[in-house]
Amino acid sequence: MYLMFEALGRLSDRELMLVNLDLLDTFEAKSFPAQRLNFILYNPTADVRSATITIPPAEGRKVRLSENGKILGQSFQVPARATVQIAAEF
Amino acid sequence: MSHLDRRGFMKALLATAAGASSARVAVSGLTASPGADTETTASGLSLENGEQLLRFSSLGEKLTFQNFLRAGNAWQPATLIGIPLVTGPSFPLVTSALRRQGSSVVCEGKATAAGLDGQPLEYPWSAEICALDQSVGEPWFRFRTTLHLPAPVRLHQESQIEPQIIVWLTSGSTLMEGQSGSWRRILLEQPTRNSLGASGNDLPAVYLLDQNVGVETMMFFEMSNMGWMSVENLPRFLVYRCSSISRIGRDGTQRLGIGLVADQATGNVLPAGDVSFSYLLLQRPLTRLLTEQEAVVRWQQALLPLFEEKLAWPRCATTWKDFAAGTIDDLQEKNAAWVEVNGHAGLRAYVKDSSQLWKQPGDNFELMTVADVLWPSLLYLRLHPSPTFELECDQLLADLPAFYHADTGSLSNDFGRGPNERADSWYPFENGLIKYPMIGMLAGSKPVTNHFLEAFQTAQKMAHQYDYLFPIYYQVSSLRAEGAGTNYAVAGLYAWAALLAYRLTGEERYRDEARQAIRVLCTVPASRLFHEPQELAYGALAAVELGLRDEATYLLYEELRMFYWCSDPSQKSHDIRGMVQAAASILYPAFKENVEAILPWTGIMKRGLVFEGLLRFMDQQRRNNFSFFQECSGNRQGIPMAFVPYENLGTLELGGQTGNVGKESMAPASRSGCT
Repeated sequence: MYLMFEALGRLSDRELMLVNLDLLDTFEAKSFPAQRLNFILYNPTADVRSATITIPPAEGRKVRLSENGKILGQSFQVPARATVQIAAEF
Repeated sequence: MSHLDRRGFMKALLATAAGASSARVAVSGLTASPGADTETTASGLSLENGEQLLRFSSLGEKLTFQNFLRAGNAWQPATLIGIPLVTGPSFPLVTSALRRQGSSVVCEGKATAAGLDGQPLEYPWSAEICALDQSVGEPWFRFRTTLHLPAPVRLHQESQIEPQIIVWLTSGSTLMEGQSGSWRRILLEQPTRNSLGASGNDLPAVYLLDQNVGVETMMFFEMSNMGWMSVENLPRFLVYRCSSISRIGRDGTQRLGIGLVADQATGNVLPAGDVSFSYLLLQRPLTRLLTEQEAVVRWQQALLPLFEEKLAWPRCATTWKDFAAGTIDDLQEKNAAWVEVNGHAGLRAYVKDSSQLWKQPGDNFELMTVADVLWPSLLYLRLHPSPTFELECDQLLADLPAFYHADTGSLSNDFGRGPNERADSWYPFENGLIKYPMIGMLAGSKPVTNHFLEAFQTAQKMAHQYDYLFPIYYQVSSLRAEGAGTNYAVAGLYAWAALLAYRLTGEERYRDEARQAIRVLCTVPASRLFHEPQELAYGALAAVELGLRDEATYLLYEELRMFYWCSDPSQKSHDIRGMVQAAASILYPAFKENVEAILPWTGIMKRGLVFEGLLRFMDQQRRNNFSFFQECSGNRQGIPMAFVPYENLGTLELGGQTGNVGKESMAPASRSGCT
């Protein structure tokens, strides 16, 4: 649960879910965590919510968040019951 | 005349069956008024939704309904007339008020049953039948009926059981039924059953395509709202089935219906207070005879919007990071978590003395336990280095080669295998052929990955011997099946294992093996695919990796049939909603299977197959899985091994009993803690 939902990417609002998608494609411990991580962000609530993402493995390094190649800010609005596919690079 | 044509007249005969029974309402001439709500008529109220028109009996009568489907400018009956909201002699719901209110029909009245003393007991009741908004899914009708019982009711449990919820659909000739009628239906019933027919307690829904009349019918039962079920009357899925029912008439006809049906009860008392019956109905015209796999997909796509997340957190929920750290600490409790066998250190399957059912043998530990802990722990250590925990993981890694036996070419689950070793097939296929090579690759262990490749050759031999239709049990030395059970979904594990072998070797033949296994999985009857839920998840993952998106979609929908779509109102300390039945017929959710059943979804979504509904189930587990930890809803101070989860949560069918299976020490680092 920790590796899927928190270890590689976290949200300030716990009502939102951030799922890491890379665990079953991780074949070398030495290269884990990769410097490009894939996530799905999901807002299960009926309200628009603000998402602020942190990537703990980046350890303070600058993180580039994108959705289908489009750069995202570290904080953004997520519509109700919407999903956002996010890549994080650091 | 071809065989099909000769019996083609059956369709016309059955198609008129529902209409012929519809003596009270002349429906064939009823004109559709697209887009408009249908108002009160001489024979009662109507409610329209999508292609459906629901007509109710008149004020002052027993409340019943009949559903119709649009056919050009007319409405054709899609059910028989006179369907009661609740079936049984104790529920003669006579209306004293019946009115339209927005997109609902609301009604109330009185009914008479028998009290516990045998005397008549009059009670008020109310009901709301609502046309669900199509913007959030299919045009379902929701039926919610509440009996306001001033005292308990004595139920009539005689030749027929009550209460049931039955929607009668057609009436036809028994002769024609056997000639071809029964051949042109697809029934998808629930809960899922294991390969030998034992029933579980998962998704409460039913689907019937009757091509004879060109109608598909679906129902979903909102068990969260039906908290009256107990051993005092009908203990939910110990007796109820979401299925079809037929009644033979003396005149050579038989009626066919679907619903929440039962043929036995454990008691005859309906408790005093508000007793609710809550379900949804959807009917659609469909003249084509689908494949069973197509029917599963259509059904699940219609159902998925009905899964409602409960956006709450169990009392003990903090973060999974906290719980993972606690798990790692607990795992290092040598006395409680570890066992030593011939100088090899291993992990106990359950925390010492925590299981009321199992006793840890002193001369053994399991590959499943070791693999479950090692896989995520190797990743966890990269994020949170710990020399002491790393040392323990190194000990477990050192055990792994000894699980392989060259004489059988197989990986055993037992560190100390006995004579005449028998395997339960999903153990070696998941732990030996998926987790074992993953650990081998993560740790860079050639002996482990080589053993995996050797074990895969044996698995391939077995796959060919059984045409990918795997048995549950087999003799490891001879691969000879034992018993009558099957576990066809092992092919899902096998397919993903083949793709791991392809990754290690680059040999295309492994992808061919995976493809063949998926083909067989998607050919066998849908009802035969249920054993451990993660088998289907890995099958879906393999399918999407191979570019077989339709097959992946089907296998995911099959897997969702094993989930808990509702809460269990009998269990006050936890909510099983969003979890999955740990194995077909096991009747409880387990932490291990909960997480393993959704973990492959991450890889599936990465490969571009994303259903919003899957995310709702995932998020519900992200919340509710905290309930597996001892005293989650109470005081957790001072509890030993508090971060090793219980294997099981209580359900009505098992009389509660949360945690009686034990604290599953295989789970901590792997599932509760890390993965």
